[in-house]
Amino acid sequence: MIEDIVARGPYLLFALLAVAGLYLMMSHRNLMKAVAGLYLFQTAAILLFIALSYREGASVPIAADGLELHNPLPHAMMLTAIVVGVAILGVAIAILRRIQAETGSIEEGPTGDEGG
Amino acid sequence: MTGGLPAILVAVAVATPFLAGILILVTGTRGTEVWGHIAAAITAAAALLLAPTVMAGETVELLVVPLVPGLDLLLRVDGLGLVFGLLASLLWIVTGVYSGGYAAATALANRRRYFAAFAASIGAAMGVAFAGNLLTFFLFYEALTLATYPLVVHTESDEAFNAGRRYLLFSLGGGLALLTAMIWAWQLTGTLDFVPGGFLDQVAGTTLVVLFVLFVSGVAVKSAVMPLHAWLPAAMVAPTPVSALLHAVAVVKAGVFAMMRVLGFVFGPVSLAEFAGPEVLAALAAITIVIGSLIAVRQDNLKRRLAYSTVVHLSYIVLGAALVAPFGTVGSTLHMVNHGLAKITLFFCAGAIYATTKRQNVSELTGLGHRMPWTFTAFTIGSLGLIGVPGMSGFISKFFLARGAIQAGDMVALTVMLGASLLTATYLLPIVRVAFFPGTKALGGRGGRRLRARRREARPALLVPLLITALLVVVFGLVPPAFGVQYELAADIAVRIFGGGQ
Amino acid sequence: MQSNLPILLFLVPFLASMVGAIVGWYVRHAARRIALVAMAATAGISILALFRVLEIGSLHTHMAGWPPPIGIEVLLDPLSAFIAATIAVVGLIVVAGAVEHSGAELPRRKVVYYPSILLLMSGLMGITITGDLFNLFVQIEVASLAAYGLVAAGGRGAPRAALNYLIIGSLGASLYLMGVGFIYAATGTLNMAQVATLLAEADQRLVLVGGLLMVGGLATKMGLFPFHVWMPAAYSRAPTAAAAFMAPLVTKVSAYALIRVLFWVFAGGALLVDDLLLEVVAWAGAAAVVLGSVLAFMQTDLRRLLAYSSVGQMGVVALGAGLANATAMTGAIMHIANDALMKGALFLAAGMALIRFGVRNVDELARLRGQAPWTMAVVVVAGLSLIGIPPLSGFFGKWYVLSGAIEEARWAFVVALAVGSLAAVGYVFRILEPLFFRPPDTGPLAREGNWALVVACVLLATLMIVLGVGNERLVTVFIMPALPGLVP
Repeated sequence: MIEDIVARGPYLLFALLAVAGLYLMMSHRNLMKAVAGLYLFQTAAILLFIALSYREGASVPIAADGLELHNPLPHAMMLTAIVVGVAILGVAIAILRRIQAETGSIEEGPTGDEGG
Repeated sequence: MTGGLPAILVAVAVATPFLAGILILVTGTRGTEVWGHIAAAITAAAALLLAPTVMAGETVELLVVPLVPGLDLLLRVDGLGLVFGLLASLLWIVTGVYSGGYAAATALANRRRYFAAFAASIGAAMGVAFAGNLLTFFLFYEALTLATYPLVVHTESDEAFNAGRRYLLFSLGGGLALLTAMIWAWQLTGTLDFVPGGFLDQVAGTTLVVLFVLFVSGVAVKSAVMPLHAWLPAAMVAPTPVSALLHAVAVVKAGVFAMMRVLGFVFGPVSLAEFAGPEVLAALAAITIVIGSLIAVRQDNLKRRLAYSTVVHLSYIVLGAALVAPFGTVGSTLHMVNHGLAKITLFFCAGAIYATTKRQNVSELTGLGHRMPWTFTAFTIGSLGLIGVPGMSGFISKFFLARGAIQAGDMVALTVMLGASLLTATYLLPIVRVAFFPGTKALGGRGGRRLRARRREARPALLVPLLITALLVVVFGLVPPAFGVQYELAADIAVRIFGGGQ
Repeated sequence: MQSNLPILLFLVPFLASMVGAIVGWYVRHAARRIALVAMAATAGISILALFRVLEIGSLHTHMAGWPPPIGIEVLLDPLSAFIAATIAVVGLIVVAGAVEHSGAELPRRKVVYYPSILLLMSGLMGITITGDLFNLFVQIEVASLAAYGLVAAGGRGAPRAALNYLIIGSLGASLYLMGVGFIYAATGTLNMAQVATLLAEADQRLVLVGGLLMVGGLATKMGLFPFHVWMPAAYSRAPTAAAAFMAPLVTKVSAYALIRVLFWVFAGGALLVDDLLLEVVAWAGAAAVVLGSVLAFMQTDLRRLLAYSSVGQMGVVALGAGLANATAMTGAIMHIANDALMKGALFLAAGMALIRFGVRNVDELARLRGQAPWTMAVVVVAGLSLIGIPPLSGFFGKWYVLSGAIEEARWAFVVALAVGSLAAVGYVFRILEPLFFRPPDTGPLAREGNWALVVACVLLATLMIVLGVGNERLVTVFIMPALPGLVP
C-alpha cells in the first residue's frame, strides 16, 4: 500500500507542506511566521485525508447512480478540520496582538521562561 | 482472638495519641500539655490492660479496613508488639511530663506544633508495634517518619533543616526499599501477615537474597546500622526531649523492632539458614558497635556522645536478632526495653543539665555533680545500666545476648559485645568522674566554693521523670521477674519464632 | 445499550457555554451562575451515568441516528464513565472554589472566563465519551481552543506562554490527525471499535506510522516527557482560576485518551505495533517520572513546580499504561483521578497564595504560616499524597504501578519510580518547609481565602483520604470493570 501512496502526487505535496510548516515553526524568530508554519502543517494533515479519498477514475461525490465516487467522508471531516484550523488561527492572531501590545514586538524575545 | 474488649483496647491504644495530636492543634495554647498527659495515661492503660490477654497466649486482632483486595489494615497484638507498645506508651507519660518542664525551662517556641507532633509520633509508634501485616506496618512506619520530622526541625535553624532533610531522605528512601520488598514478597507468597517463623519459606535462591537486602536496608535506616546511621547524630539538633523520644523510645526502637519483625516474622530461622545474609548483617552490626563506640569516645558534645552510644546499642539489638538463636532473640527483646530505659535516663539528664545550666559539652561538666547531685546520680545509674553492670537491667539483656552468641557459636560476636561494654564504660564513666570528682584543683579555691554554694537542681518536672526511669533501671535489674512482664514475653517470642524453644 | 445519557455530558456544558456568553453580555454575574449550575448538572449526570453503566453495562449513542462507520458513536463504558465522573466532580469543585480567584484576576472578563471554562469542560467531556477517532481530534481542538484563550487571559507573559502552548498543542493535534489519516488509510473506518477489529489484517507499516503519530500527538496534549515543554509556562502564567481548572483536568483527560487509543484501538490484534507503542510509552513515562520530579525540585516558582510535578505524575500514568498488565493499568487509571484531586487542591491553594499573599515563589510561602491554617492542612494532605504516603490515595496509584513493574520484573522502572518518589519528597518538602517552619518574610499580611475556597480545598483533601482508605472498594467497584479486555 505504501507504494501506492508514494506513487501519488498529493502525498508528496503533503510531505512537502508538513516539512515546510515544521521548518517555518522551528527556524524563525518571528512569531507570526511560526503561526503561519503551524497553519501549513495543519493544511498538510488535511491534504492527507483528501488524497486518501481519491479513487482512480471516480467522480465527484454528488449523488449520481451507477458511477464510482470519491469517498465523501474525508471531505466532510476535513471541512470540520478546516473550521477548527481557522478557529485556532484566529485565536493565535488574537494572542499575537496581545503579545505585541505587551512587549511591542512579535519577535521571539528574551522573556526567559517559555521553554522547558 | 478478634472483637470484644481487647480489640477495642487496641483501637484505643493506637488512635488516642493521634486524637490527642489533633486536639492539641485545634484547642488553644492552654490545653497543650494537658491533652498529652490525658492521652498518655489512656494509651498506657490500654496497653497495660492488653497484657493479661497476650500473656495468656492469645493474639488480639482488629481488622480496620481492607486497603487493597486481599490486604487489610490489620492491627494485631502479639508478645513482641506488646513489649514495644508498653515501652512506648509508658515512657510517653514520663517524657510528656519532662517535655512540659523542658519547654517551660527553655521557653520553647511553637509548643502546639511540638506537642501535637510528639503525640502523633507515639501514635505511629503504637501502630508500628501493633501492626499485623507488612502493609499496616509500612503505613505507620512512614507516619512515624513524618510525625517526627517537625520535631527534628523544631528549632528552625539551618542546621535543623539540613538534619531534617537528611532524616527524610534516609528514612523515606529506606521506606521505598521496604515498599518494593513488600510488594515483591506479596506477589511471591500472596500474604504479608507477620507469622512467627516467617512466611517466605516458598522463596529461595537469589530472589530470597535480594529480598533480604531490600528488607534489611529498608529497616536498617531507622535502626541506624552503619552505613545508614548518618541521620541520627545529625538529628541531635532537636530539643532534648525529642532526642530522648527519638533515641530511646519511638524512632530507633521502631527500627530495631522492625528488624526483629523482618528477621523473625517475615524470614524466620528456616529461611535465614539458607544463605549468608544474617552473617553479613551480624558483621555490619558488629562493625557498627566497634566504630560507633570509638567515635563516641571522641565526642565532646554530650548529646552527640549519647547519640553514638545509641547507634552502638541499637546494633547490639540487631546483632542479637541476626544471630538467629533463641537466646539472642530474648536478649534483643530485653535490650530494646533496657536500653530504652537507660538511654532515656541519660538524655533526660543531658536535657536537665542544659535547661538548668545551658551547658552541653562534656568538658563543661566538671564538678557539676555537686551542683546537681540527683541528676548526676541518675546519670550514673543510667551509665551503669548501659554498661551492663550486674544489678542493673542492662546486665540481664547483655547476659542473654552473650548466651545467644554462644548458642549461635559466634565467638566474634561475643568478643565484640563484651569489648564494647568496656568501651561504653570508657565514654560514659569519665563524665560521671569529672562531675563528682573534679579533682582538688577545681574544688579548691574560689571556683570550688562557687560550685558548692550555687547548688541548684533541675526543676521538679525535669527531675522526677529522670529519677523514675533511673529507678526502673535498677528495679528491672535487681528483681526482674517480679516487675517486668517483658521477661516472660521475650521468652514467649523466642519460643514462637523458633518453635519448641530451648 | 442505546441511551442519550452520554451525549448530555457534552451538550450541557456546551449549550451553557453559548447561553452564558450571550446572557452574560447583558446581565452581570449571570455567566457565573449559569456556569456553576451547568457544572453541577454535568457532575450530577456523570455520577448518575457512572452508576447506570456499572449496573447495566456500556451506553452507546449514535449521533444523529447514523450508525458507524459513517456516524459518530458516543460511548460510555465503565472507564469513560469513571473518568467523566472524576472530571466533572473535580471540575465543579474547582470552579466553585476559584470564584474569588476569577473575581480578583479577571474583574472585567468574567463574561468570557466562565463560557470558556464551560467550553473547555464540554471539550474534555467530548474527549472522554467519544468512540470515534476523528471526533476525538475535534473535541481535543475544542478543548484546546478554550484552553489557549484561558491561558492568554493571564497577566504579564501570559500571551507569550499561551502562544507557545498553542503552537506546540496544535502541532500535537495535527500529528494526531495525520496518524488518524494513516489509520483510516489502513482500515477505512474511524470508529474505534471497528478499527480495533480491522487492524490485524491491515498494512502494519501504515498502522505503525499512524500509531506513533497518534501517540505522539496525544502525548503532547498530556504533557508527557519530552512533549511537556508547553506546560510549566502555561500553568504558571495563566490566571490562577484558569490554571486551577486546567492543571487538574486537561492533561488527565489526554492521558485517558492515550489509554483509550492504546488499549481499545491498537490492542486489537496488531501485536507487534502494540508492543512497540507500549514500550515507547512506558519508557517515556519512566523518563517523565524521574525528570519531571527532579525538575520540579529545581523550580523556584510555585506554580512551575506544580506543573513539573504534573509531568512526573503523568509519567506514572504513562508508565502504568505502558506496562499494560491489569495491576499497572489499575494504578494508571487510579492515578489519573489522584492527580486531578491533588493538582486541583494545590493549584487552588497556590492561586489563593498569589492573590491574597502575593506569593509567587516557593520560599515566600512562609507568609501563609499561621495565617491560613485550612489551606496549610490541605497542602499537607495533597503533598503527602504526591509523595505517596499511605493511606492517602496517591500511595495506592504508586503501589499498583510499582506492583505492575515488579510483576513484569522491569527493575529499571522500579528504580525510576523510586527515584521519582524521592525527588517528590524533595519538592513537596520545599513547599512544606517554608509553609510550616520558616520565619515569614515581609509581605502583605492577609487571611485565608473565602469559605468557598476553603470548602473546595477541604473537599478535595477529603476525597484523597476517602479514596485512599476506601481504596479496596474504589478498585473493585469502579476500576476493575474499567480495565481493558473486560468490556463487552
